[in-house]
Formats: sequence, structure tokens, C-alpha cells
Amino acid sequence: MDMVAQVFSMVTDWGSIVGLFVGVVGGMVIGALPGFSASMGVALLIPVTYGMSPVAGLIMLVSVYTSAIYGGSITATLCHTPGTPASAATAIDGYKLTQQGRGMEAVGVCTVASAIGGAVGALALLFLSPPLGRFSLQFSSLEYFMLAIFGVTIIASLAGESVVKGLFSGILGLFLGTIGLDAITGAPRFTFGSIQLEDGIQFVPALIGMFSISQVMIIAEDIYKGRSTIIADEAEMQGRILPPWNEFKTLLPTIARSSVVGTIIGIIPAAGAGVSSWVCYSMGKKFSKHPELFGNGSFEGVASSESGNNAATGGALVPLITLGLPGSAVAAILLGGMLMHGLVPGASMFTEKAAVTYTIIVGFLLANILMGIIGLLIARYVAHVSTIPMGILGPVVVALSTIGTYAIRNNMFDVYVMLGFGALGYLLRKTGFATAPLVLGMVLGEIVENNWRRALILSRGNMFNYFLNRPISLVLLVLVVLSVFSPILMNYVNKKSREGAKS
Amino acid sequence: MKRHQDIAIGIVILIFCAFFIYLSLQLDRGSAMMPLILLGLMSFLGVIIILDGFKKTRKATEDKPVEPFLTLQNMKVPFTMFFFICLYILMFFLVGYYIATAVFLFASMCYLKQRSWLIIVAVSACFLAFTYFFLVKQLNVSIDALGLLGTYLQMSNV
Amino acid sequence: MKKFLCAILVVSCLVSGAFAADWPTKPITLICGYGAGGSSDLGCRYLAAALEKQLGVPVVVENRPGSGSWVAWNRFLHNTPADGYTFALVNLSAIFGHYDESNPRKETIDDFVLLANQAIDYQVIAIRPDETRFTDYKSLLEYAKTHELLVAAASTGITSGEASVAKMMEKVHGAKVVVVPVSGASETNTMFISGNVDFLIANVGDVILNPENYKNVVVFAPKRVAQLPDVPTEVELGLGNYLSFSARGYAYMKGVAPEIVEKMTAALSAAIVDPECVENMNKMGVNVELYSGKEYSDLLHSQLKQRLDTWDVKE
Repeated sequence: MDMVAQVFSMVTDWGSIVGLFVGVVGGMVIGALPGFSASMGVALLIPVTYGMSPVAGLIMLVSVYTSAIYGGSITATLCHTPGTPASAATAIDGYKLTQQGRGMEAVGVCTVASAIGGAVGALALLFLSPPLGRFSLQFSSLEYFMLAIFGVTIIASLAGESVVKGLFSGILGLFLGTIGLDAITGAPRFTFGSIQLEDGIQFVPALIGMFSISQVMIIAEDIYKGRSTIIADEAEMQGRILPPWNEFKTLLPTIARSSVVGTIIGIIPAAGAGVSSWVCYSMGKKFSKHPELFGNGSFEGVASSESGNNAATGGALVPLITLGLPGSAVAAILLGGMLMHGLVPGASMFTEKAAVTYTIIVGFLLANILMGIIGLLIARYVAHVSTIPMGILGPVVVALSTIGTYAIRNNMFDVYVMLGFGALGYLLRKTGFATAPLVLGMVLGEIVENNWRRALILSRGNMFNYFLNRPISLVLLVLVVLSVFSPILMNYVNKKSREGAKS
Repeated sequence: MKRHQDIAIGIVILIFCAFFIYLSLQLDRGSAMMPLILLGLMSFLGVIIILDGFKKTRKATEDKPVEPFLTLQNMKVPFTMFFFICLYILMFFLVGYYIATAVFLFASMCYLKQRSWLIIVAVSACFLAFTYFFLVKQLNVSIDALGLLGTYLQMSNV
Repeated sequence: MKKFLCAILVVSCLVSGAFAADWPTKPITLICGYGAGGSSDLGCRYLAAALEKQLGVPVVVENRPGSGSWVAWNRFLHNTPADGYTFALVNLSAIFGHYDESNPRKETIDDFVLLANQAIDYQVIAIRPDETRFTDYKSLLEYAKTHELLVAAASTGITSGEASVAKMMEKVHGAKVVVVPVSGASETNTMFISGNVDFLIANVGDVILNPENYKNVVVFAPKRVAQLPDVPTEVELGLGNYLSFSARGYAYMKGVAPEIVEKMTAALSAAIVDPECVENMNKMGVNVELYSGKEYSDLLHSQLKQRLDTWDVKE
């Protein structure tokens, strides 16, 4: 009880409240800009926290983390410009909804799903951290590999019209992931002697090219076909922030499932919000009563990827706080921020420093709620982006994407990558190759290869035994098998039942 | 009779794969394995796409001819836009970021049939103010360092 | 065009030489080849703040991550005017890159003008506190002669401090050590704590943060380190005299006027031992040790020689 009072007084301290607000709003703005991702937001704000108390400073940093992930989905939904890699899945359905005049509702669903997902992740962090931290140690190279393979099996479900072409996109994405220095031997692969390619094709510039630049090219085409705004007819713009209750009700199971799955994926060090949003998206599709709507404007699609990626932020903090082991780029930066404030993450976070830890976690929970409230308040206004003439929106998106891409590493080469992928993305989209599998392939490529080769070393030459001794790998293997064969099985069952109905 | 464009696409894919398979074979075994597996799968899918293209070509009839995905005609507008973007980025080195951005926003908004000069000027000015005060001053994005000298510095570093 | 611009560069160098006397008159840029928010970046930012006090002009940190800082160094060495207004963070990768078997770099340590070293982090070997197969460095080596042991290392070959220690254990002590290449220090740590590898080669800075997770058996330093007073050195144990550390310092490119180099070295040396800067570095688990000029160069050359010997590479 003493603890609760202590936490309450620290959380309601002025410094913490200011940190919370600045963090949430700043994170939303940074996340919404293409190229400026959560890790950049956190890194940029670390110096700002110098003068703050540790509690206020860290509340601000974790708030930026979660709300930057959310902010990315606003631009993804309204302009097909995913601000962060985690919101690429949202762009697919969100933008379709915007075109149908339901952009405001899509933003509303994004907001609610993000807030709920984030809150679930925060609650897990609050109540289950120590056991979840130990759980995260059960994962190693083999499990990362199996998880990534599970991700690969999703590719087919994102394929769009042509399964063959969709698969090709996915494998092309995996292949593009092999460019750069081989992580195991350090030898350069397909770099053509360029030092810029040694780190591989940077994912965010490629993503921005494929989504934003190609979209602007399509916008140009549309304008010359006589359209002027994203939504077909301005009168069609719906004035609701959330879909009608009977429609929204059906989203709740999706949000709940994605929140839990997202939290678990977030805990796994190699995965993170990007993988989580795609896995949740495809699970949403598998469980949906209307899978045909996925890719054509499905609220379920938006809800599943959004709650998935924000739930992953809470999960990603688990290994950091309990073990001091940062599993992702953002977590590594947060570790720096914690050390700077004299907080050493690890077991002591839940013993001697428990009050501070719980305050930060409660702050994180409040940040998710605040983000939801602010999001709903501004949804009405931001949704009007879709009524701005495309002739203005297009050039602005290009200019923002360019500076955002440059800003990631202060490197012009990334801008060239963006350009190249812009043209590639346009050609792929026009010739019937879905871009979603390509993005997912690029996310997974490195995880698959490096961890397989690491697992081979870790198995000490006896992969079969090693596999049998790792229960989580076996579970994941079952999931992979199910994921591959369930469509076939479902087809069979459906056929049988139809035959049954006929006779 | 016109062939379906999938055939051409498939051929491009096979050439792409052949090129990278050639490069992969020069790597050591561990590094080459994954790329080779993926390229193998891609070639296989490329062949399927070609076969599919032939099938579609055969199926096409007088009333339902093969619809090409891309024609020079319908690629003209998007690739003009793309060309604008390329020019924009090149201009960073010639005239610096701010002038390039202003010129680009002007030119592309005109190209995209915006007629109101007031709006064009206002949007460009707001955007430049935003990049200068928020991105460059607050977030330390060094994009304004590119300029005439920057040409040499940055281009030769690729 | 290229010639013309080269001429501009040369002229600008000459001009800057002439004005070396009143250097610095404008902001100075510190190139950090690692991403914003990481430990290297924070170190640079603390130093920049302290250096501003010394020089009286703003010191701006510019992050240019890529290829383990080589994107930044490449640009810094070959495409940045040597006017004394840009300097860079250097670490041991800058020295060993040239000897990297799988991806050798053109540049060697001699392409940098070394100014001052800010931090040294010695390497230790740690075993899990509940380990039963071996209890100290000697029994670890003994056990490894008959059993293959796994250890994680960030990158492979001579550029990796961990892989070099493993190589030394193999070469000098006949231990069988298999290296699992991972992507960074936090991942080597995760591999160790989760029990996927048998022991840990890490920096002192990594093992002092959560001491309950590690039983440190040996430190590869010339004498015991202050943060780990109970951990013996290899020399003390009588098992060898291997030294291994990671070092972080600052350098110019060639061609900067000698007066400027001198002034900068003095200013950096003062900034590195600035009490606030030292305190902040210690909070991050980083051990500040100042070496400047010739001393700094000797320090890096000694480590270079050590590793070249270990890997049987000719200079």
C-alpha cells in the first residue's frame, strides 16, 4: 500500500506530468513524419531529459516510444506514407478506407486499437515483468529463426490477386535482405564495392520509396485522369470518429487477440513492433469473417496491426527492465537514457528501485491512455488531410519523405535508395506484384539467415537433438506447419461441408 | 497477336536471377547458400510467370484482348513526376536544399494542376519554414550543409 | 570539375593554415560514426559539451552511422577539408579494419592524426555464478582442452576483441573455443545469461552493471582494474600476458596545421578529464583514461601488435 502511495505521488508530480505530455505529443509528431521513427524520437529527446528528474525523464522517453509508433499510423492511413516501419501494414487497409471516405473512422480505429494494445503491453509490464523476462531468455537463435519462418509463411496470405507474384515479391524481399556484409563471416555480398551497401539496403528508405514515392506517382496519374482529392467525392467524407457500434463491436476480439500476441512478440528480442504488426495483421485475416476485405479497406486489418505494434512496445521493455538486455534498437537507446539518469536496469529494478520502476511503468500506461484521448480529439481535424487537393499533398509528401530519409543517417545514399524503390514500387504495383510481401520479406530476411547459421553453431553439430531439447522451437514448428497447411485444410473442410449441404 | 506482358516480366526476372546467381557463385559457400536458395526459388517463380503469360496469351480472344500493364502512354505522367523528384534531389547539390525545395514544390504543384498561386506560395513557404525551424534547427538534420561544395563531398562518397 | 574542386580543397587547406593562429573562429563538428542515442554517441555528446567550455565555440555532434563507422571515417578521411573544424571519434575498428581478412580497408591507423584517448575498457572473462564445470580461469582453460566451449562474439576475425581472445585461448593454451558471431555486445550478453554459450568475453563496462549475473575470472589488463578489484589479471595468475581492451578517442585527418593539432590536443585533454564529463561517462559504466599524442599512438600500436601476433598476420 505504501508503494502505491509512493508511486501515485511520483506520477502526479509536475515534472512527470509535463514529461508525459511532451513525450506523447512530441512522439506523435515525430512518428507521423516519414523517416523519423521511434528510435530517432527517443534519441533526440535524451539530451532534453538531462535537466529532468530520472522519473520524469524516463516517463517522457517511454511515452515518445509508444506514441511515435502510433503517430506513424496516422500518416500511413491518410497519405499511404508509413512514418515508421511498424505502421506499413496499417497503410494497406487504412489508405483504402481513406479513399472510401472513411479516413476519420480509420484514424479513430487506429487510435483506439493502439491505445488498447499499448495499455495491454503496459499492464503486462506492470504485473508480469519478472516471469516474462525469464520467458524471454528461453528464446535464442533457433527460436528467432523459427519465428521468422513463421513470418515467411504469412507471405502467401498477403499476396493479393496473384499468389505466384506475391510469393515472388516476398522472396525478392528476403533476397534483398542478404545484400551487405554477411553477419557470420563479415564478407561483403552484392555490395559492388560500395561501402554504403555494407549495412545492406536500409529498410526505412526502401519502405518510404515503395509506399510514399510510388503513391505520389500514382497520384500524378490520378490527377491526369481527372481526380483531385484522395477520396472520390468530398461529400462522401464520413463525419464519424469511430465506426457504428455494431461494426466496432466486431473489432474487439481482434484487438484483444492482437494485443496479447503483440505483447508476446515484443518480448522476443529479435522481433519487435515491425514483425508484430505483420503477424497480427495476418492472424487478423485468418480469424476474420471477412478476409476478402483485407487489402481492400478492412477495419479489422487496421485494428489488428495497430494494436499489435503498440502492444509490442510494452513487451520490448520487459527484457530491458528486468534483465538490462535491450532487444531492439529503441530499447538500446532507452538503456543509455536510463544509465544517464543513474538507473541500472536489471533485477534490482523490482527490489530496491521498485518504486521508481513502477512509476515509470505507470507513466507508460498513462501515456498510452493519453495518446488515445489526444488521438480521438484530433482525429476530426487530421482526417481532413484526405480532402486536401492531391496536387498539393503529393509534392509535400515527396519533400517530407526526402528530408526524413536523409535525416535517418544524414546520408544522401539513403535518398537514392528511396528513389530507386519508388520506381520499383510503382512498377511492381502496376504489374500485379503486391508490395506488402516485399516489405515483410525485407523485415525477415536478416533474421532468418543469420539465426539459422548461428543455431547451426549453437547445436554443436547435432541439429536434430538440439531441436528436440528446445520446446519453444517445437511449438513454433507446430505453428509453422499449421500456418502452411491450414488454408489447405480449411479448403477441404469447406468443400466437404458444401458437399454435405448439397446432398 | 500481342503477347501478355507477364512473359516480358518473367524474362526480366530470369535475367536478374542469372546475374545474381553468377555473383553468388563467386562467394564462399556459407555466404552463398541463402542467396542461391532464394534465387533458385525466384527463378522457378519466374518460369511459372512466363508460362502463365503464355497461357493468358492463348486464352485471349478478339473481344478480350491482352491488356498490357504498362504502356509508354500511361507511364508518361507518373514517370514525369518521378523525373521531377530525381531533378529535385540533384538540385540539392547545385543550388542547395532550400532553393531546390522551393523550385520543386512550385514546379510539381503546377504540373499537378494546382492553379492558385497563393496556395502554392503559401504551402512552399510553410514547408520551408517547418524544415528550417523544426528539422534543421531543432532536430539537427544537416541537409542544408549540401551545396556547391557539398556536391563534391557527397557524390564521391557513394 | 573534380580537379577544380580538389584545387578548392587544397587552397582552403592553405588558407586555413594561414589562419591557424586564431583557430577556432567558428563551430566545430565532431563526426560520430554510430547512431544517435547509443553509448558512443552519448560519450561524444558529453565530450562536446566539455570541449565547448575549453574552446569557446559550439561543438556539434554529427551522427553518420553505417558499416561500423567506416562510412563516417571514409568520408572524414577522404572528403572533408582538413581545416581543423572537423574531427572524428575513433576506436579500435579504425586500426584493425585494414587487416580484416574478409573485408579489408585501405586505411590504416597512420591515416589518422591521433589526438587524445578518452576511454579504455579492458576485457574480462566471466562464467555463470552457478557454473560447476569450471570455477576459475585455470580450470576453464583446462576443461576447454578436452571439451569444446562456445562463446559469443560481436563480429569475427581480428576486428573483434572477443574473437581475438578466443583465438589467443586456442593458440596459447590449446583450448577448444568455438565463436558464435552475433550483432553486438548486448547480444553476446544475452547469449551468456540465457545459457546458450558456455562463458562470456566482455568489457568491464558490461559486467559491472548487473554484477550478480557474472563471476569474473580474469581481466586482460596490465594491473587490476578499479571497478573489479577482486578479479586477477592474466599476468597475476601466471598464465600469460595477453592484454585486450577497447578504446575510444578522437582524431583528425592528415593535413591539419600542426598548431591546430596542438591546440586541439590540449583542449581535448582538458575536456576529457572535465569532472562533469568523467562523472557522466562513469555512470554509463565507461572508464575514462586519458592518453594524448604519442602516448595514445603507442597505446593503439601495442594493441595492434598484440592482435597481429595472435592472428599471425604480417603488418
